[in-house]
Amino acid sequence: MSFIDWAVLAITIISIVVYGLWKSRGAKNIEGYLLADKELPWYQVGLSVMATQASAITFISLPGQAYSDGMGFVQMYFGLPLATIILCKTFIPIFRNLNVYTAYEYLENRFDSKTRSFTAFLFLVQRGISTGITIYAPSIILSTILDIHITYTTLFTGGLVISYIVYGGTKAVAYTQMFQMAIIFSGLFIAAFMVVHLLPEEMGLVETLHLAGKMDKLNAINLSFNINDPYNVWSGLIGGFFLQLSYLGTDQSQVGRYLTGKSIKESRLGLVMNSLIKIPMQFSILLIGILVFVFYQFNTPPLFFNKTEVARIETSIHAQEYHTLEAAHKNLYEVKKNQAQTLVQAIKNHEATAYIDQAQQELHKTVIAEKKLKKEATDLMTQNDSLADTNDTNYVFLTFVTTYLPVGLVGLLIAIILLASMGSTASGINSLASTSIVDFYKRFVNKTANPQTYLNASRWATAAWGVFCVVVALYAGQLGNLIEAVNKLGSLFYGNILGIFLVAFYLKQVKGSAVFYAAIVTEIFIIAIWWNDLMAYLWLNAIGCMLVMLISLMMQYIQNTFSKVR
Amino acid sequence: MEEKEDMPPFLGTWNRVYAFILGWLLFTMVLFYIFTNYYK
Repeated sequence: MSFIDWAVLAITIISIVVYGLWKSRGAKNIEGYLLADKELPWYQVGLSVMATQASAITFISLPGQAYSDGMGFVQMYFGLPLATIILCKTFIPIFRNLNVYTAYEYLENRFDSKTRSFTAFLFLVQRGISTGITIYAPSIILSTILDIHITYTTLFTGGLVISYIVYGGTKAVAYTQMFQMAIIFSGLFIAAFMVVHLLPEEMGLVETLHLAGKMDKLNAINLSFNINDPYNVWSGLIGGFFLQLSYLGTDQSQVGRYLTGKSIKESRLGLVMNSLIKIPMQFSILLIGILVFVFYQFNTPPLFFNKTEVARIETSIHAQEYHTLEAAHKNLYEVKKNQAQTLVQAIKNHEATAYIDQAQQELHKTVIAEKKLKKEATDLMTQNDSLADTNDTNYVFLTFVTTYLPVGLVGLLIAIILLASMGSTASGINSLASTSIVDFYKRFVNKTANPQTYLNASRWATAAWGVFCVVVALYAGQLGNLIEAVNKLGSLFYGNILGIFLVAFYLKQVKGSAVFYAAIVTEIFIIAIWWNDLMAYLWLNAIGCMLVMLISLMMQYIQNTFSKVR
Repeated sequence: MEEKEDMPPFLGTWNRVYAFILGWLLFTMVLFYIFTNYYK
């Protein structure tokens, strides 16, 4: 990176951190530290919810996901608007009226302390690991750009977030997130503009979309039902609904955002704003990935985008074989480029359908040959090192940014990725600290301390969870595509947690013990399904949720029957 | 009855806001369907 890029990066990051610290000064108790004194307006609640969900993973993985698999991923968010309605109607009024700090506090009111503690524990495990992954994602960037070992970049990115949220708490999270989102939106717009600008002269946006469509990348809707396919309308609407409802309704990293609203109205409006903007936003980020994909049809892409893995194979005994594959890939690229140009010309000149179909089929054959070549390359990497990271989707967009964007913009885009990571990591650590203090420390360890003691304990918990997440981040490299890893991990726990809350809200006859044991049985069952790879991960949310409800009803029925017999 | 201060700032009632969200989702899905098939 040039000096100007470094200057842009440093000024953006420092000014936002300083602003967050300045606006969040003066927290006197845990209500101020964990709930920002419940004084935030709807737009700040909405931006905070969005920034929490839109981590660096979103900006690194999503374009890479579109590059390799197309737009299908966007369907995963179809369940969000449906979930928002349930959240606004049921969850928000209940949480607000009970004046809780965490979602899990409600479960003790409704059931008992063991159900509250078990649910809070599931959350801590899931969120602790997920937040670690969100720290890891931007560490890759710094590691690739600076050519510094990923351990040091992970320590730096984690340390940056910990440094301001330990002091500023939730207010620091919310105020920094507001600016982060503003910079993220403008940066994405500039990035999209630049990709189109860098395409060959004959390729306007329309031609670009035609080519991507003919190469099966614009699959934003897939109506066919397949339980093993995570990205179709049905898994998006049903599985996505359960995933989003459990994420926004029972994950403290999100509940903690909308509990900071001034009133029920402000909290609801924040979520409504999120539900209206989220799908177009994800679509736009995926579309940037598609533009990058088309860009690489006319500019030689590397055989493998992860430079670190390439460097390792080049210094191994397989170097010669890899170079042979690279040469073959280069030849194949030239063939593919000509075929793509022929196809674009055919579409532009409105040639006969048969001619266009033939051009499309020829291009398709070359794409298959290219995939085969890439598979040979990754097999070689695995032969060299069985732990090699053979998924390079996280590096596609980064490679494009650092190789082709002009001076200044590289710094800005790297800043955006870091800011996004800071936003979601901050919410994650903040929620882990809230849950540890409110649901465990205050409940079991120190029930009647003064406000200053709780405030200090919250700061210590924030720092401790920050360190834990950094440690997880150091081992996150083996998880493949990061955005999928986070969603898969969430799906193992979210359905179960959501089921517990839905039993609490809607099945009034079910008591604490029935739901507690039902949740344990369900968690074992869900992990077994996942372990044996029986279905696409999005469905685990729906199944987990329904299982808890069903088993708890059965257990309650059995319990009632036994009580009557006695 | 919803208290006046909890009323949404637009569309009058929360149920209408929810209907608007559903309409928005449907509109988005139809747009995506057209987008997918037009460029196929």
